[in-house]
Amino acid sequence: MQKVRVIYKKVGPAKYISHLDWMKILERALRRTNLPVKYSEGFNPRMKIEYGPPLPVGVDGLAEALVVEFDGWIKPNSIKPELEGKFPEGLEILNIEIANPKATSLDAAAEASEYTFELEENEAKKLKSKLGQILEQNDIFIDKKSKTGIKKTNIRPMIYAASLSGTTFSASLQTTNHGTLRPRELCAVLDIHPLKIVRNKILFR
Amino acid sequence: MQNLLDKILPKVSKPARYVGGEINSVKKDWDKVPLKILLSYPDAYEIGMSNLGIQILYDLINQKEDALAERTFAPWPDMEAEMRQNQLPLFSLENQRPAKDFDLWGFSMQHELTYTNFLNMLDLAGLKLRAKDRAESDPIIFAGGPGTLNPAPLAPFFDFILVGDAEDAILEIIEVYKSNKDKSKSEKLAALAKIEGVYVPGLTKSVKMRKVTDLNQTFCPTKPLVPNIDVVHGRAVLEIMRGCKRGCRFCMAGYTLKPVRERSPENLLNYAKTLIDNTGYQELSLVSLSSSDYSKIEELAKKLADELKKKKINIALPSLRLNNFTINLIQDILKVRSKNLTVAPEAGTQRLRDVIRKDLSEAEILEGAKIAFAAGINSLKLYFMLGLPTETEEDVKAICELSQKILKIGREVNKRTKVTVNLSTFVPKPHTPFQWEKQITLEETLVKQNLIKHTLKKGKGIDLRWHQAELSYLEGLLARGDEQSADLIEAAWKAGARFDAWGDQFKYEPWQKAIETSGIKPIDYLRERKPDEKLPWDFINVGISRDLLIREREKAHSCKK
Repeated sequence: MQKVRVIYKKVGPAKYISHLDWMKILERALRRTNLPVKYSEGFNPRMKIEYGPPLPVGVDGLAEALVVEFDGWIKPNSIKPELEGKFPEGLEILNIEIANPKATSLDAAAEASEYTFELEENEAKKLKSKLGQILEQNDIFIDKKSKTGIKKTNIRPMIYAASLSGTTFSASLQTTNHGTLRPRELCAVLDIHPLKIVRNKILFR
Repeated sequence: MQNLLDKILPKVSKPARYVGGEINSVKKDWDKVPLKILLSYPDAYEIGMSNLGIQILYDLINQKEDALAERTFAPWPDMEAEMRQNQLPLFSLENQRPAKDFDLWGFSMQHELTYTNFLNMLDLAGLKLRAKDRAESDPIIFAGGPGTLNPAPLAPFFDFILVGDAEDAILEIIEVYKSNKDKSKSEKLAALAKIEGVYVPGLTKSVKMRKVTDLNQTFCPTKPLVPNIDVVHGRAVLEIMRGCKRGCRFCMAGYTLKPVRERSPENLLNYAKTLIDNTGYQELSLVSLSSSDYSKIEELAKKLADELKKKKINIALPSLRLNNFTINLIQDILKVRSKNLTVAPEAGTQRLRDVIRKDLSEAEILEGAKIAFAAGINSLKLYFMLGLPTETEEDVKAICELSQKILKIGREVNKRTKVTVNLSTFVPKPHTPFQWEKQITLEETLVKQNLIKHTLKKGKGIDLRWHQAELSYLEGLLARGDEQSADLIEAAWKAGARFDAWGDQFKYEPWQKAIETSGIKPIDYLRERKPDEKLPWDFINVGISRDLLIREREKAHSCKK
């Protein structure tokens, strides 16, 4: 058994593919290879793939992560050529390395996401004048939607860092399995309508 | 364009419908290809992408060096609103080119409830709806699919209509277009009119339906587009046979797709392997109108199962007759684990099944159900039609009795057995022995549906579903429509009709308004036709003689199989 960590890009047209659909696309791509992907036991065997925190639809991901489990041992550098041409436009593997098979799951290890938001000039100006004020608050309550319903949540502690440089607004936001601040939720608080949102990186423990 | 899309797409539902880039999509260099064809299915992306015809033509055309095929589907209402607000014209998914920039634009017209979407797409492309109002430089708009078997309601909107199989015809269309590229539109159409199966409204007097003779020599798509979002049929599809040897008198496909043409098991096995290799799908569906009638079905199933099971690929074999043989086929050879099965008795009594020539006796239905339940099936779907010719109250009530009998058999095997009764309304179709029959009115449909609702014993195990009466009524107005029906479709579109086949989108009011403004009398379209009456689709020759249709109709009325 071997676990391999894949860093990939999901940009352009692929940023509009939902996380659930992406999972199916990856399984179809892997099925077209000769790679010995490990399947779960049971009535409906599924490929053993572990995903990092889902990327919101419409957001470019420059360094997303997932872990694939294989039966037996394969050379990590043999994976990329096998998958060549088997992804839709905008999905690309950047790096593949052997993962520690005993490592915490990606989901549990994730801590934060670093986003950049491209703004129109007048919006950037407006944000500049109020960003400091907003961040000075100890509590920013929003109605957060979750599977169980809407919950009033203080999101201020979930903003780890935020800064504006020219028309680019950058923010590091909490992304853990006990609480995630989504980029568009922050946009609503700041009243900004970015031309583009990019997740540059996910920070893991 | 991309910036505008990036602004719009995050706001709409399922944005991946509009971005392309799927596996096996082909994006050619726009400026280097002389002939550009746009292919459309006038419904949402996920419906259109499941259409085999679109997949065939896309693969076939893109294999040619001097032509390209791109796609566009009907934008969902939220996307339509954004496009109109931002003045974004309908564009192709590959090169994001406005539909107007293509040489030819083909629509697959599968059923009447997509007709308003088709008009909406022309409008979103900035094109006039009627062919006569469009400019010389506008694309040539053409149609294909079963909707063209009565082209009259669509004729005013199209420059030409291809009736029948498109695999060979599209290549001829491309050649003729190329050699007339510098000629005027009317000269091009005159040249296209000479191709067998092509109908140019106003020019062609009679049309012979195009049919491929040998399915083994006919193009089979092995690099189908794999949608990036969940679609209706998220699986590889392989057409094993075209046509149906049974002669159900209500069935337009059965009558018009004769003779039956099969692909050989050897070819199918090769195609299946390539399809799976090229798509990564986990399921392969073998399609035809009646798969049990494929002459070497057992051999085919065994070969495919041997080959594909080791790759963990499931094989689906829909459209089977319910009997011992097919249950074994599904469970022992194909190892399908599904607990659901569908049977279409169509009518409740033997008399009425004889009238429609549905070759299925009550004994066969009950025996088949018994075998299916014993084999572990615990949910059986039954399909029936209301308003079939000669139907009486007794026939309608018999639907309930038969369903209850089937449930009882199931309950004896498994206490949790479920039977779902699906009711649709019979719509007489052109080119069938029933093309002269009366269609029941909206009110009659509701009365019959209510009769079933009250007769069918409520309680555990039986679920009743019905096709909305208004939809069958509209299908009936258009299925045997004439050129005046075009006014009705246009008026309905103007009044806001869109996505009529979608339960949550369908609105009856635009159609009611359209019936008033277009001045058509619905009863003229639903009524019984006289045998000597000229029918709008008489000039389409599907290869079945009128005498045969009349003889079959007479047999039906004397309850003879």
